[in-house]
Amino acid sequence: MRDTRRTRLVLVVLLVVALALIALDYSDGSNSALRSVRNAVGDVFGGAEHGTGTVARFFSGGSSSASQVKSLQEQVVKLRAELAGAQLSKSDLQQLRKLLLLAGAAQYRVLAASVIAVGTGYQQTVTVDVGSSNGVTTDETVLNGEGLVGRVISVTPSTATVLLADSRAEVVGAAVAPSGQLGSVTGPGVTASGSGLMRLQMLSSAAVLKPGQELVTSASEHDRPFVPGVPIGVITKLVSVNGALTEAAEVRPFVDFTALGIVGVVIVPPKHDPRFSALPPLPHPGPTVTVTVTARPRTAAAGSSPNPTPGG
Amino acid sequence: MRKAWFAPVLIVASIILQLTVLNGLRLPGGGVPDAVLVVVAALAVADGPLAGAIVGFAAGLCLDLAPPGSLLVGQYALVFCLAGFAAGRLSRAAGKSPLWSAVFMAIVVAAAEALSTALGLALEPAQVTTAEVREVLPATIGYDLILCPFVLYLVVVVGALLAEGLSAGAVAAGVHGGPAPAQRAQQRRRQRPHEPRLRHAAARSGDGWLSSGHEHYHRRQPAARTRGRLRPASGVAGSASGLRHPGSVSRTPPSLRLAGGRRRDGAIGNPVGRNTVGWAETPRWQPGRHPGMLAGASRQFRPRGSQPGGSATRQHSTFGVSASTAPGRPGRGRTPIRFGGRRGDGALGRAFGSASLAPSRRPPAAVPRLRPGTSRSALTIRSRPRPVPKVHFRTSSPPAARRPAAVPRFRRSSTFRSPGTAYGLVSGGVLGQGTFRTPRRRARVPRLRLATGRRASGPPGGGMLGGSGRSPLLGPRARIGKQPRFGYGRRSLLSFLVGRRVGGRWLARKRAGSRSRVWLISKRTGGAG
Repeated sequence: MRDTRRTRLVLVVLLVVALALIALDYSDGSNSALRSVRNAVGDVFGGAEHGTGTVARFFSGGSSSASQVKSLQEQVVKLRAELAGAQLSKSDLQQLRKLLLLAGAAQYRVLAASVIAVGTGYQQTVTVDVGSSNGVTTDETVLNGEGLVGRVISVTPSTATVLLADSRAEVVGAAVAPSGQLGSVTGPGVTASGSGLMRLQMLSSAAVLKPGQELVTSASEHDRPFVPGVPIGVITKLVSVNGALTEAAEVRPFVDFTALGIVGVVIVPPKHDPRFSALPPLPHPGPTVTVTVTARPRTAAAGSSPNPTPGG
Repeated sequence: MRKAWFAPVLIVASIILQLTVLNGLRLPGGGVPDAVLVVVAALAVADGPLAGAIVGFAAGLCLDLAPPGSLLVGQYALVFCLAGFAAGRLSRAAGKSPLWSAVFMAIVVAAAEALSTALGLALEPAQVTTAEVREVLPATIGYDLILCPFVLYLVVVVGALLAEGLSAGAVAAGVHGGPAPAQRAQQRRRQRPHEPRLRHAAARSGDGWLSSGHEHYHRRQPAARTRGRLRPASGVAGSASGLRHPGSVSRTPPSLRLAGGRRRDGAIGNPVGRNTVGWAETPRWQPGRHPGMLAGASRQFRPRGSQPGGSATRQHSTFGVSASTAPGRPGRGRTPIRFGGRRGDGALGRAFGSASLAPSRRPPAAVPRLRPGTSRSALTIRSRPRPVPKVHFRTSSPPAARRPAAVPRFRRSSTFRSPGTAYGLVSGGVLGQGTFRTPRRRARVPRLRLATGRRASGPPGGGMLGGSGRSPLLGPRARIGKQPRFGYGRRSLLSFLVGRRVGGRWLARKRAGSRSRVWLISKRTGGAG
């Protein structure tokens, strides 16, 4: 009785509904009804996701009967929570400072946000805790103190969903640092290691790449979806593909996409193209050279006197 | 039953946990466990396929919609709905074994993970590639499988604890007089091997490991039913208990009431006249099927409508008892009705000896009252003045508690509600067997099937209210033990795959031969419910 006709009927109905939803969303992504449902559910779950971290901090043990003990325990809990908050904000502060430095160097106006949820399965998306009520709209660039994080693909009043730059579906226009040659960077997708290497494909066959060159985003039309000048990564290896007309390379992203904390949404693009000003200073191989230089005379001195005992 | 909020709360918590914590983890192998899927599967194992499908759909839709959400709304709803249904179905196929249901659950989870990936590959080829899948899917499934037993355990234990708290509170409040929680837990433990079902729907007191009792609901039912049965039908005129329905008393006096003798009370029984009246021709009263034959009425028992009174049950009690103490002879023609408990000693025995009434005196209104439905009242009489045995049956709880699935059938087919009373009726024997044979069978099948393995716990010989009544009962009782085995054929993997209870019916036919009719009835009542 329990799993006979009625159950199957319910099952079929539910499956049909699910398929209908998929078809609806597939054919018309901007369906207003679906979007409003998404917004509503996003509000609820976004609030819950936002609150989870906060609530977790106030987790405490059992209570006692005596009121005095209870109040003291509450104090302890409160102080502990404050301490945890302070410690948390310390690391947040670090990230925030770096973000502001980058934004300041490139003249972006950013809206700081924190990542509150991560997409399931093969969705390389995260949710941040700012939304349309904060002025965020879709196709805005998201970055953190290290570099490019992604772009906003959907917005609810209180949350925004960010498609990460290391997604396989994402193609970012890039400029190679010193020369300004253009190419496109594609994400590695989901990998077992969690952080794969991006793939750079140059547009011009005349472009010449070298390992160690850094990439920034190139200008997009109306600065959407990517504002210019956001650091992407550094070329680690050139890839030669047989028959390819243009050069390709593997790029290690600056951002660790599995450990996102504080990010910034660029709500006002820079007036002028910041070019490469936001890139971290290039590391110079100088120090090792000086060490070897200072080491040589010593070995030379040692070689000049192969028998120290009789000489000394 | 578990509290209603349990599943939604668990689902929402798992979704939030999944989105905020698990997805952000960086685990060796690349994948992260899909807690929502595992929770859905565990709930389905506990609740059955219907609830599993619904819960899966809801959870999947929430996961689709909750930010960051999936690219296409509905893809997780589809997969989780299927997974919930499959987990519930397979866990039923697993029957009573927790190990097997856990194994099936793991299989379902792995399959659902693969299906979800395949759906992603089909719907979002830009985002999901086979290279990614090859890299991540095995680890994801592995983590899911690791999570499976813990989540299943959590769902089952917390659900049971919640139910336990619920019923404990009810007992404390005196809502129903069930055994104490500890006692019940002990009972449950003892009877675990017999518990075939993992769904909560099967939860009765004394259930298996997933029991999360419906006690509230189930326990109260029989009590209410019993009360209802005793009310109007009992103590109609002619009842030994003297309990009379006010309405019927006034109409009864003129009619004598005779019936086949019951064994113990011997009230009745003997041939009463020769001519037949309409009611007497109903097949139900044919002597061959009459349990009361035992009382010595033997083949002579032919209620004659022309004779005053057809059945002892219709005799007004005060009148009858005081009428005579001498056994009369079987009525011939217009001679006085013959009463006489041959074997028995009943209070009514030997009564009614020479009450003679001209047929003409019998009011036509009495005819309808001669229908078996009315005569039943005489049987109730037997049990009525002795509330103790009935209470006894009821407190032995299993018969009362286990019959919920059959409730509608009871109502429709007969008014016998409690097995104890039914037995009493049978043994009383005034009734034609035909009166209740079919209903009783119907009623019995679900009850017995649920009673699997519980016989030992019941009162020995419970329900033998009326004393003898052995012949109608013994056969069925012997079947009691077997019938569940037919019934659980549905649980076999074969019947699952075929989608019908092939195994069950086949078994039933094989074992019971001609009794397939019974089986069909039980199938209709869906006794497994």
